[in-house]
Amino acid sequence: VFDAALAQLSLAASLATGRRLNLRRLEQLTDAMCATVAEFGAMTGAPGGVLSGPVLADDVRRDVALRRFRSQAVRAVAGTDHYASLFSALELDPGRLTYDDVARLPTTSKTALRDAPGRFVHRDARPVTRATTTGTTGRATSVHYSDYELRVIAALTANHMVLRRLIRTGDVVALCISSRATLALGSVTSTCQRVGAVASLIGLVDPIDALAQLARGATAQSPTVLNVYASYLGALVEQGLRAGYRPRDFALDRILVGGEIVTEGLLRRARRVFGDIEFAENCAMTEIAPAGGTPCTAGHLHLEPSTGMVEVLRLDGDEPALPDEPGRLVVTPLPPYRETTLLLRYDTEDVVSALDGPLACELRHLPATSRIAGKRALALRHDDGWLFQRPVQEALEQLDVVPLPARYGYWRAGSGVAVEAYVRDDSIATRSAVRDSLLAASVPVTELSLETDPARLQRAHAVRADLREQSFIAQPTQLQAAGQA
Amino acid sequence: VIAAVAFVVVTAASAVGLALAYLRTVRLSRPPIGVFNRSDITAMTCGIAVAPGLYLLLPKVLAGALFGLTVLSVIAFTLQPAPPPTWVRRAILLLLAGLAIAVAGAGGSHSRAFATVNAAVVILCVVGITNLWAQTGMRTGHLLVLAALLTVYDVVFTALFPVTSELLGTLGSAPVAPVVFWPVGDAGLGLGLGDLLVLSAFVLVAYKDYGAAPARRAAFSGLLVTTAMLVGVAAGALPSLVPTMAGLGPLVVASCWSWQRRLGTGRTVRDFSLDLHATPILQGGGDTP
Repeated sequence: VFDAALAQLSLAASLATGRRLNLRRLEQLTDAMCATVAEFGAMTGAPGGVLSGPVLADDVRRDVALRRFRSQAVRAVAGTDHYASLFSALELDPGRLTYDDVARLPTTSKTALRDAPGRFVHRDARPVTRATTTGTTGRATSVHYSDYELRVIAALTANHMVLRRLIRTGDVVALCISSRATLALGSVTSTCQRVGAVASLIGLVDPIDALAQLARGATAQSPTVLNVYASYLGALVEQGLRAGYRPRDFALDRILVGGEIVTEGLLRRARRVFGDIEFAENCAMTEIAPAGGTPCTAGHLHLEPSTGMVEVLRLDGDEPALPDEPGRLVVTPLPPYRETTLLLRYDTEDVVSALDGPLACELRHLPATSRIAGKRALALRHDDGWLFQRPVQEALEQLDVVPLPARYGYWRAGSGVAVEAYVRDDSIATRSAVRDSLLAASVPVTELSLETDPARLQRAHAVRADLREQSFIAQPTQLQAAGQA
Repeated sequence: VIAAVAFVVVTAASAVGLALAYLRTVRLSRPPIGVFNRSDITAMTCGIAVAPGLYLLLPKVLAGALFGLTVLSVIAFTLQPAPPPTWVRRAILLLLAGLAIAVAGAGGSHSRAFATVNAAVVILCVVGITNLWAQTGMRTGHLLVLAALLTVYDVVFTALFPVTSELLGTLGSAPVAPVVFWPVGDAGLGLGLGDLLVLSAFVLVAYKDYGAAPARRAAFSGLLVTTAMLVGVAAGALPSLVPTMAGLGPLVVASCWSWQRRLGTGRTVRDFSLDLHATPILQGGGDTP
């Protein structure tokens, strides 16, 4: 009890002063959480507050966030080429920034970071890892991290996973994510090590191969947790249903899915293969780590204010978006979490909506936006407003006639949009079902093109399941093996 | 003298019994994160070593007030999960504080009325503190280390150095004294708060970790050793200020060591609570599995 209290005090002191976190204390906190769960079965009260500090009134929170933003700006101007020249051109003193000054500061674009990552690296920092994004919407972006940052991110991930009971002692965690997702792989592996679980890297191999490894009895310890991209989960579901897998074939207890839009249709269909187990959605991003979001049961995305300052700016301007208006998610990772690649007002190019009024969900103490609606680059303006990926994908993935993951594209056509999608058959019934589903999801579809061969799609969006890795041996599925026997 | 021994032993037995009843029926609020571990033993030992020095440095009135406030906050914590509303609990606290001050003022700290009220206050403290230990996950192994350290402390600071006697001199005249005693002539026969805490924790941890039978043995052997030492002091066979832990400590250490070897590290709080629901312990006789 005493060392857990000390660890919490140490964390709170670092958050208040911006001084480096005590890594030993941070790791002690994870150990204390695991010990608490082992001793009592659960944590009581509001353990989430342990990581974010006390719940603050909105105006106090704004003041604290501004103070921490200033401190990061001072460091960025002193140590990076990009922000030194930017502040000089704007004649802004980073140590005296007001919220009005912050609003004048241009957002940092993904392109700027992608084109010259070195201009954002603090000259005194000692990077040890260059993490890259998967680059599904363009060339991969790279971000440098120091050893301190990697350990902080790993410890925070572990604390988050233990707090939400996503990874537990004795679990076998199968990782179906890209081998290039350095941060995610490192953090989850480190979490497993800390809590006494086993990390099992499957990767993005042929889904049939992955299913064989996930199945009960395929390895000495059957996986109990699957960490997977949404689109690859779709591929697993599709192949699993085709190969005759049923829930009894797996020992999975939880599926941690994220990295892309997760639809209700995907989860409903995934339950047919993996059973009525817990699905937990996560939202993390290489560029802004360890800042990230946690979805709640009310469908909001709650962003941890202690790790980053969050803004929602209009899609076609740099003014704050109005409540319920879609906007770009702009995040500034704050000290003491980041010290190498420093980003001020980083435009994630993810589209969310600011929320209006007090929240009533279980995470109401944390600021929130809507769930991510899609990428700004894939947003389409039509006569009645904007179209994003989420409604199209929700509409398609809830239909069994659409193979998972949904393959689709859309573009402007007349007053509405044209949608193309990959389907199992191009019958009248299918066409009608797809059109009805799209219209029900408020997609103003004026033209519909259905293809039974995904290669024939003209503007389909890339998905992470496409980052397929090769393996030497294609393993037979458990059922095929049983059939041969 | 017989009445004094009987009063102290009955008070000690009541403290143990009430602490056990509390453990079976009341769940204290605990911090969201954290389990009793070695860091708590270290912190407690440091606190126990430093606190007497601090009390001795302060003027008697201040030391008495500080100790009284500490005791009140412990009792408030102990009563916190009780069903009566907050104002009733506050009224009980005020009543206890007023009563303690009144009897100390009226009859002095050597009166029987003071001894009785003081015993009630000490019992409440023992119930709260030992339950906090047991309910935050104190195990037999922790108690073994704590008892060993306290034995050394008690022998050194009671028998070899006059710290305990000076502390009793400072706090003995306060409205609340850290000792359960009964006046005998100009002096009194008593048992220190620390000894009562170890005795009570001995029974509680045995009960939580291993069940009713080890707890019964702990209660019986602990009270026997304590009674024997009280009788020894009353009969003049032992010095008037004897470190009780010199007798109780080895018993606790040996029992804990033996249980650990034979029965393992003991149940978690979760398993204990589940077992408590499964088999009502008032009826139980054997060890809980």
